[in-house]
Amino acid sequence: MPEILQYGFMQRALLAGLMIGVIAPAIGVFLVLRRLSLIADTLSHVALAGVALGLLVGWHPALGALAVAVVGAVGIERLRVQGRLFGEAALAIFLSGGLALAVVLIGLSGGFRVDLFAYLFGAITAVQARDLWIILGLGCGVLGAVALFYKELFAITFDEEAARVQGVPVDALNLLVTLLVAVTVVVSMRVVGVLLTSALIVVPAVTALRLGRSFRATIGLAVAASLFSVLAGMTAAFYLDLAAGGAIVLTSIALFALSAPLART
Amino acid sequence: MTTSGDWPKASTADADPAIAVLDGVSYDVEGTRVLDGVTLRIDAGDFLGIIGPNGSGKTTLLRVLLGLLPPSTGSVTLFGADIRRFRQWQRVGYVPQRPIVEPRFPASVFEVVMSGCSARTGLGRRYGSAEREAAQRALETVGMAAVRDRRIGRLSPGQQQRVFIARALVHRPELLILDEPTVGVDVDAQEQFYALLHRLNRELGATLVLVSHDISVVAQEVTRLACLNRSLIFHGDPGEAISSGALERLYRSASRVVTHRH
Repeated sequence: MPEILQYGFMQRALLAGLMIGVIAPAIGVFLVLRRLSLIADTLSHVALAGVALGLLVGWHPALGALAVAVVGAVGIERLRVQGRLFGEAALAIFLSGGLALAVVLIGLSGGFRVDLFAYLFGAITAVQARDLWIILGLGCGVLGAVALFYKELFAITFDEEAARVQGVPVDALNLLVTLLVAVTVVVSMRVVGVLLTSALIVVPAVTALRLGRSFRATIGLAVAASLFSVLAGMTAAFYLDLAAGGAIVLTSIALFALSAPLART
Repeated sequence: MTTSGDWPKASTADADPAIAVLDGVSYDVEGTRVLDGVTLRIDAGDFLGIIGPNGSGKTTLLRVLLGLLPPSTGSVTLFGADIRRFRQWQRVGYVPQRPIVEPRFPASVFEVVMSGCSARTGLGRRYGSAEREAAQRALETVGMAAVRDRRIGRLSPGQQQRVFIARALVHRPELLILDEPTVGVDVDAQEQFYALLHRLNRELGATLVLVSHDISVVAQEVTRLACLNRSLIFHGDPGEAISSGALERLYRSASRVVTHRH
């Protein structure tokens, strides 16, 4: 058995990484095509406030992040549906608001601590057995929701108005997508770090969009690019003692750059 | 193009043959009335053309008819049900105005047509072989079966428009609503397109509503004509629209003079 698989923490990290590698790009393809990439970044900053809240009051930080990110997701959708603000302006308010709240809560809990850094930038040693169950459970929920509503998600991504005329519950599904992004951020933050999860949602999806001929193929390519990035990045992190989140995201950006000559016209 | 089996005949068994009824419909945008007191009845088997100058409220009228916009006053009835409670969307097909296809959108022609099955299949259910066969038949109906695996963004505007008609036809709607379907489509493709609509209406019994600003073509094809300029100026036989002077009144105030003398 190669050394990388011999450690319990590494096995957990790889399992978590594989789950992240599948769900982040699967949801990312829908986000990028609807020009909502910034939602991922916004919700990761909102989730950071949840991590800080969890650390302050003694909850599991992932549950704190989940609770706050879900509240943020509902708030973002409500602002978007009302349409009173320009789409991106609503996101900017939540993004900076989340970060501001996080900073205040971190200050209240006595400043930056080591475990907070692990959430900010990810760490392969950080996935405890309890984390793994949260990650696998939430990840399966995201995968199940995407599989269950695949045809509706395609319909609203391709042509929202035509989907509405078919009786597709467009507003409910928009909320669902934003909630799935919130959950994906929470699932990803342990390994990749809360500040880098949006990259894993967006970058493999953009790479796949250069190559895919059909929608199904594009999602498959995005998952493949993301799984490769996760495995290569974590292997590099293990043997070269690099920061895992950074190594994973840099790998996925390298794949994006390498895909340029292959881009279909 | 092949004929695609039996089409569900519009519900002539119902006591009232009206497919859709707009009753005193007005629509306001920020205090400006863009539709004013429109009363219009669409019967089973009609091929209704709605014409009017730019900004006359044609698209708004369709969006109100489809329940995408709530009317400020008046009511909309589809297949005998108030639009707010209407759920039988599989009976309605909609081809939006020149759908903006992002050329890089990664969807095959077949995937786009399949997406028209959402209403029939039900929420959270997967497409089965029946849906795939229906999509294949719809593509054959519009003569696009040969390109089913091409990416939608690589087709010409005319071809894309036929794919969107196939998407609207896939669940065999009794009412097909088309908004400016020939904008950006070349003349040859337009002729094929009107031949297809003609066949859908006469042979398959579909009720059609077509919005256009191209009055010369529309007046030749449709069985009923509605002239709209915020309010309904005329509704009736297309020949009568010309003889009664309704067309003249419709475009008199329009800055762009459109006259086709026959």
